[in-house]
Amino acid sequence: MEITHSQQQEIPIIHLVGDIDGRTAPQVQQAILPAMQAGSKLLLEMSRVTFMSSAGLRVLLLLYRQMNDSDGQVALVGLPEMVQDTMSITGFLDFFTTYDTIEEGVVALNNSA
Amino acid sequence: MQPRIDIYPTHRQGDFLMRAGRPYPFGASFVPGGVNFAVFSRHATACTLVLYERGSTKPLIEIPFPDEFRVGHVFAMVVFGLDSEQMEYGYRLDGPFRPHQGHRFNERKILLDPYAKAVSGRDVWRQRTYPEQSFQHRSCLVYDDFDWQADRPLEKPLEELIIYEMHVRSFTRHPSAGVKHPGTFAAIREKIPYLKELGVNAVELMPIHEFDEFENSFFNPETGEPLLNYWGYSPVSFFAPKAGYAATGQYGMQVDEFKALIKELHKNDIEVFLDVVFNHTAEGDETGHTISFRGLDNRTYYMLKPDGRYYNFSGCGNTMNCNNPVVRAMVIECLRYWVSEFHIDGFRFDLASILGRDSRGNPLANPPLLEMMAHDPVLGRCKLIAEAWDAGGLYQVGSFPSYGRWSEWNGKYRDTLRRFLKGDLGQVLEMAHRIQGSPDLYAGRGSSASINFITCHDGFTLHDLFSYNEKHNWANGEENRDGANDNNSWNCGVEGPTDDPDILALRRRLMKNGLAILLVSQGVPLIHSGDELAHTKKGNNNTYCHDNELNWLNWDSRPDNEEMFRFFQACIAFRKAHPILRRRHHFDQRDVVGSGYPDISWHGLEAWTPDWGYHARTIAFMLCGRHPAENGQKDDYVYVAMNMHWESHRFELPQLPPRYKWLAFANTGQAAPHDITTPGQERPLRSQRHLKLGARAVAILVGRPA
Repeated sequence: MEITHSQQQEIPIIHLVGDIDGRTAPQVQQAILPAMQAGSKLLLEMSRVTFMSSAGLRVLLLLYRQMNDSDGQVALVGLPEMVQDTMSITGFLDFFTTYDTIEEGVVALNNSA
Repeated sequence: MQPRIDIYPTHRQGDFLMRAGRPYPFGASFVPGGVNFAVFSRHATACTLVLYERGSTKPLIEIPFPDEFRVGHVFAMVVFGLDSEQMEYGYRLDGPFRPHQGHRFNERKILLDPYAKAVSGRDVWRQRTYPEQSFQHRSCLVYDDFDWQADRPLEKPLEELIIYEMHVRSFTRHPSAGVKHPGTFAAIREKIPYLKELGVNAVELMPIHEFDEFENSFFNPETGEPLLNYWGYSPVSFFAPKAGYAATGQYGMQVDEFKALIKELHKNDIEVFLDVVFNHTAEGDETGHTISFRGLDNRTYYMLKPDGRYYNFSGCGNTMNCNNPVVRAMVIECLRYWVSEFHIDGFRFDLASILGRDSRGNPLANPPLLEMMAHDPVLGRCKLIAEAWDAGGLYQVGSFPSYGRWSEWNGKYRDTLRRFLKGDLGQVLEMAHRIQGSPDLYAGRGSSASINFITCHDGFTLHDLFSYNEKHNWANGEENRDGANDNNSWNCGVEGPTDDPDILALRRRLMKNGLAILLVSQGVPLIHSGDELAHTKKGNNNTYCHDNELNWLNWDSRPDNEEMFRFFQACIAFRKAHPILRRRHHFDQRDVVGSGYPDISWHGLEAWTPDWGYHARTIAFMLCGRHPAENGQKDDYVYVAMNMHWESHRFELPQLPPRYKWLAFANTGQAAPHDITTPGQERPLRSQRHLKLGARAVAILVGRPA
């Protein structure tokens, strides 16, 4: 699991690369927690996620909800087809906001209150 | 909340840390910091937990349960710090091997946990994850935190249902289905619009519990191919949904996928029934594989003869010892699990009469298991439906111990309707009982105790019912010996395919007659998937072993069978539009509202004069819409004329109240598209006095103010 950070138009972006599963999920959690402040906005760029396991999905959803509960906004960007498919089939996709590209995500988050 | 004070290990083996566990719940459950393993065996002398890394053929570690970890007959242990997602497990039990006393312990075998919520080993349909002679069916842990949001079982009144019996793989496996993941739970979700279009409001899934599709020793004599256990009436596990039915089974996410399907079906107002097979397991008889129960505690889980061999009331080698208190508790817990965790709306119990037998196979007057199910708090509002017979000769249609809860697959409905349709003599009187919800069988229980059907997975399809006199099961590899012989079918003159237009028209008409009568009968109609497209199994009446077009629904056949689909659709819509067709209780057979008409009245070629004679092949009935259904809704008058004679007949129509008129909804004697219309679009009959009904035809009229 490789995690890097960037920023675009003041929106922080966390790039996740590799498998997200029970073993790597805590790393994702650690990377995201500092970015989670009340009212903050965040994009998770996932185009190079190779696999998303059951535990991975659950950690992601928990973080997503914590963020939204604190009036923050988080969105997933660039889900590979296989990951998107798994999330859709298992019902998880319904709970997330997703965008195809970073650009779309940045525009959407900047335009929202 | 205070953290618990007992979350620390007391024992260590290698890198693994343990402490004594809790004896219940059985199975493996998450506890803070670890996993609690609890397994029952009354007669074992020792038990070892065997842990595997997912995908590995060699165990990661084997941890014997220290003696001090045993409580009663339960071995219980917490193991800390496991990567539950990458872990698979089993048990090794030691104990006596004395078959004549019923003990078959074998410490060389690693056993599946009967309470496992997911099972690996057949992660992808028709693929073995692990070598054949190894520990194949492995227990896995799953998260039970699926977010159902506001969903719960729909709790529709039973009599409101139109049940669609279907096989997960057959429904979408055919290339013509055009789905992303053919043959899976996910694919059913893609096809929900089709179910909505048809109009059914409940699906009954043929077994979805983990089974071994490779369990079949026969070969297809035509192709030489090994046959499968395709239908899956042979459970490896009772708690785990079949991984190979999930597109995500290879990632161990079958539980989430199946739940997502159920949630979506509920969102579309469709209930979900499971066909559950608690009467036997995949372990077979003395010569079968040891997978789980046999090695855990053979004497508890199976009905054994005095010499230790297996009773075979299931026809499948062994019989679950359902009324043993431990087994009983397992069945109840299992059903509770499906209702509470999966939001299942109801169950159809395969060979349910076995659930009423004692440990020696004797039928019980007051079977504790059936009584417990009927009174269980968690199961309190789910539907319980019995296949009220077994392979040991117990036939309980009409007499299954019901405790005011149970309904039955009404085999007599099917048999009578089939005989009536092909014009057998002496059927009219019994048909009248069947149409009224079989009050002769279910007095006091009501019409909703009767699940009516003309076809189901067992036996001919609706198309084949009128295309074959005999079964043609040669492809099953048993020289046509398997499958039922008493099909009450009729080939209409030619056995199998024909291009004779008269025969084809007659077959279509008979199919429509059957469906029309089914949908206007009191009770709960069950339709077998594929009949709406006149699916053929080429005369095979036992296709349990075929992973091919005999079972797969051919979506490309729709244009050719649009006439049949439309007829199904309209009959279903008609039933939904008329509460008088869906009464919970039987008719009073008299006028109880002062309408001047009895709630149901019987008619013949002359109104008010039914011919109940042995030679009669014509009968008609009228329902008075001013007799409200349970919901108090008033309805139209409904009149149904049935002519099973090979000549046409003129039916005198009963006179309606002033200003009411008879309108035609369906007449199978007319060629499509005039055979049926959309409910609400009915046209008044030209003659309000008589109805001319063609040979072997059914007409449905509604009477309402003109």
